[in-house]
Amino acid sequence: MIGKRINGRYKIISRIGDGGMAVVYKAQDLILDRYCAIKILRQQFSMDDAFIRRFRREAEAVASLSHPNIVNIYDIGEEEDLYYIVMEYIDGTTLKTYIKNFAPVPPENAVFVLKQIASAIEQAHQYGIIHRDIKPQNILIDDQDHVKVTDFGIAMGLTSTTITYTNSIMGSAHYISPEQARGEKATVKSDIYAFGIVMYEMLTGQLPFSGDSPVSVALKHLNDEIIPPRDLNADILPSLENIIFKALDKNPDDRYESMSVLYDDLSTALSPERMNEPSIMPFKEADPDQTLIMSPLKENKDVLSIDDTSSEPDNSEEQKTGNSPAKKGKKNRKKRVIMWISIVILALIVAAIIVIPKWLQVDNVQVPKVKGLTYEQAKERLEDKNLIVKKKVVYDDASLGVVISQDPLSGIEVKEHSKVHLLVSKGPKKAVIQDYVGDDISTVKELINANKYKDVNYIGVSSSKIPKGQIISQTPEAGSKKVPKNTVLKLTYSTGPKQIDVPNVQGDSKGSAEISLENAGFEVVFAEGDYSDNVPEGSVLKTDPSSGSQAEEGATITVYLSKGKEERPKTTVEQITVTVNNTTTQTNNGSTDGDNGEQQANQTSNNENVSQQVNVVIYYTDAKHDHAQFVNGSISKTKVYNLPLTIDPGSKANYQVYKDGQLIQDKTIRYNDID
Amino acid sequence: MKAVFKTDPGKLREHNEDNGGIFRKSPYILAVIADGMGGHQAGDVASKLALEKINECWNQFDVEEDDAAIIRWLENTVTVANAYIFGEASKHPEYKGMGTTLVAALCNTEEVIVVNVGDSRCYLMHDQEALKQITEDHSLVNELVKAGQITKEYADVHPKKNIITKALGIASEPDCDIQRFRWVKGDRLLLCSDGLSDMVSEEAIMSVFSNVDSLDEKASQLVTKANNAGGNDNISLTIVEYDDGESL
Repeated sequence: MIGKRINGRYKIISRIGDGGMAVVYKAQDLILDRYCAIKILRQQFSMDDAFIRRFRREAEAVASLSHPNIVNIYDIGEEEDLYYIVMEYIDGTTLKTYIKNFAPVPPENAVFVLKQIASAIEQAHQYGIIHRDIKPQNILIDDQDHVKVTDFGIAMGLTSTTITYTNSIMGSAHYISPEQARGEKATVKSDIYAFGIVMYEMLTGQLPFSGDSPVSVALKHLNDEIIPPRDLNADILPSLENIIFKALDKNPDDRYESMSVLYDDLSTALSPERMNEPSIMPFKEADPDQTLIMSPLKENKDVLSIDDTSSEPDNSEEQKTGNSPAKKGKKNRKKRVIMWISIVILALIVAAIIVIPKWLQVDNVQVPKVKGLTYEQAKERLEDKNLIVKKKVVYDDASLGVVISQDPLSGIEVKEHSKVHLLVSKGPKKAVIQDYVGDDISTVKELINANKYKDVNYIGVSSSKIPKGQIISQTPEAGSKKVPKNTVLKLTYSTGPKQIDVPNVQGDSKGSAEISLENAGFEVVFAEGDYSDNVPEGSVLKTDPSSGSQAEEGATITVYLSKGKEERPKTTVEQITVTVNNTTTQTNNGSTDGDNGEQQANQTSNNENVSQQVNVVIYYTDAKHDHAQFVNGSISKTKVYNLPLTIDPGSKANYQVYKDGQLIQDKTIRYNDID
Repeated sequence: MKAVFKTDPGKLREHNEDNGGIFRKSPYILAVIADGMGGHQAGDVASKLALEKINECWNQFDVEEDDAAIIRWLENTVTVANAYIFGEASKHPEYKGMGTTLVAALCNTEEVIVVNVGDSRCYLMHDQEALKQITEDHSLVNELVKAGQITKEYADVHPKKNIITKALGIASEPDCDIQRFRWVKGDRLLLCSDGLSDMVSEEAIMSVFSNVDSLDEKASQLVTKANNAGGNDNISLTIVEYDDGESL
């Protein structure tokens, strides 16, 4: 995809995000010569016509919104079967990363961010668009803390009718409202609930409900009460805690009536009058009264907070970005304008009477040295001298919160109530850590700019699941913001399956060999092996791979089982003695290894007599012969014949000896008779 | 024992993401249903891969093994299939997020061992008694019912009844339920995807079981009933009947 041109206009530069439905790329708009983000619907959805229609309709509705805190949609289009939305490119991170890095977020900063989110949602609601999936991952934030909410209404696509019947796996449920968990339709109130969760997470640094599965989280949204935010972080103001309580009411009817009511409540939450606001916990019953008591106070609060602005240093940031969210359509705007005007007039009169004469007789003070101090320390010192602090934050190598320069410099004399501008460090500029997981280690080694990081460590671990060379995990994790120069990037990659020694199981029984091999981490298959004189039948003869060698974990080892002793044909040599003179025969059963020829017996007879001739015929039957003649001849003295016999397993051999035509011996030898 | 497997794309969907089958090796029968998920292309892939792996494992299945080994074989088969699908899903971007339900029943003449992930179901019908659901659905609505948040009746029409909480191939380790029970001659087992159980009531299924003789005809009629009720999803089922016949 990288390098591809969409519609001849958008050149894809890099991949920046990955959702269930779409992939988001950074791209260059070649016509307007600017960066943009292009969200391309996943292929598997691009065949579903109803889904596409829904996707387009929602995108068009969102495109009609124009709000500083909503990501602008520039273009919606398709090319072949690629469906895409072109959006404003935001150079920042998600609020999720921001929370990870900065939570618990100090109340002033949190309110500054939350008001922008609330304002964005409020406008969408006025146009009838429900976000349905408010979560920090869908909120982008730049380094000036400017917020852009994205993915409005896109989640709707997932519940389109054609998809409903397909199974899908349950996704994360951390920001889901109780009514959505129960399966009801998402409404304005669901967005309010999700907003409450985001607020809780920003202020406490943790999610109100978590669990080991999405289902358990969803059930907690339905059943469990939240831990009061102030129990987790005592710095949270009661007013802010009350907003969370009210936004997170289990009953949609008891939540804020609309996002604009919530916005108004948020706007006054930091005013001094609300510092000691009573807690509205527990959620139920007490609620309605509480709201009634609170509303009349509100007008006053607005007035007072405006009056205070000049002395509240942290509001300077707010002014920079403009109060536009605050100017959003309120129903009672007219009333307020009149009231503001009268207040301003009143303030001017007061100023004329009190302030102006004071200016005329101000004292001079010497600006103290605050450079190098933390912002809090600096502010305290300057205010001790009745100086007004103006803060600007910048990235710097100095650590977070340290004053890196001051204007005027120390030692200079100024009038009381003059402004002292401080440049405060936000810490070194961080970079988003790239995602290396799944990449090939050799490619990464080639491409990575090792000098960018403090160090890059490559750690090889064996794995049977992940292909050799593929990166399994990394620290810091992808998407997190770190100062590269202070960061050691650790990439853990697979060295392929673990090599383990094949244990020696020769001679073991089938069962014990299986256990040993499985314990060592192998799969086992059995096969029939050869005969063996040493290994009893059914025991292990050998393995392949053989013992002593190594094999991958999980590999299959073939175990050859012995067939036991081989039943080979046996041979024996029968000694047949045919005597002359006394006409007796004698046989010896022995396995001499003599030739099968005739052998003169040693036992030469002492017979001096010339004896008569005797005719000897021997027939034999064995594995190779069938009633064959072994000898047919005459002898004149006792002779020993060596008759070789081959006997097949289970079979037998026999022979007959005839002396002068008379059968003198008939013998049968069985296979088992032979040792 | 007799067994039959049927699958049908239903009336609304172009693709059949279901899969299933019957594997025989005397005295065992293994019946399987898998209902794939994951969008246009991947759903049918996941269920197909599951069946492929089950078939491979089946070839190594040793009928002589003892009980413990047989359960181990079943668990191992699920693990192998899970790992394979998970691996393919992470290798191919177009398959990202795919997964499948799985219900499989290993039957012999004494008992049945059922393994289950997701919301495909296994039912047992003993004599003429009511259909008994053996498996527990791994679905959001079932969790909500169990937690007392919604009624069983509302669960049937719940807009999010398609959300399942467990599936094969979505994590490196599978999370399945295994149960076993004895059965006797005359018992019948029905495994099905939600394309049947969402569309046809248990009473209607029972009436088909009681009134139709041929096994094949029973299966066909159930598919027809699901289609007549709308056929919103793919319909798949296997029936195993423990009859007087030969063990295969």
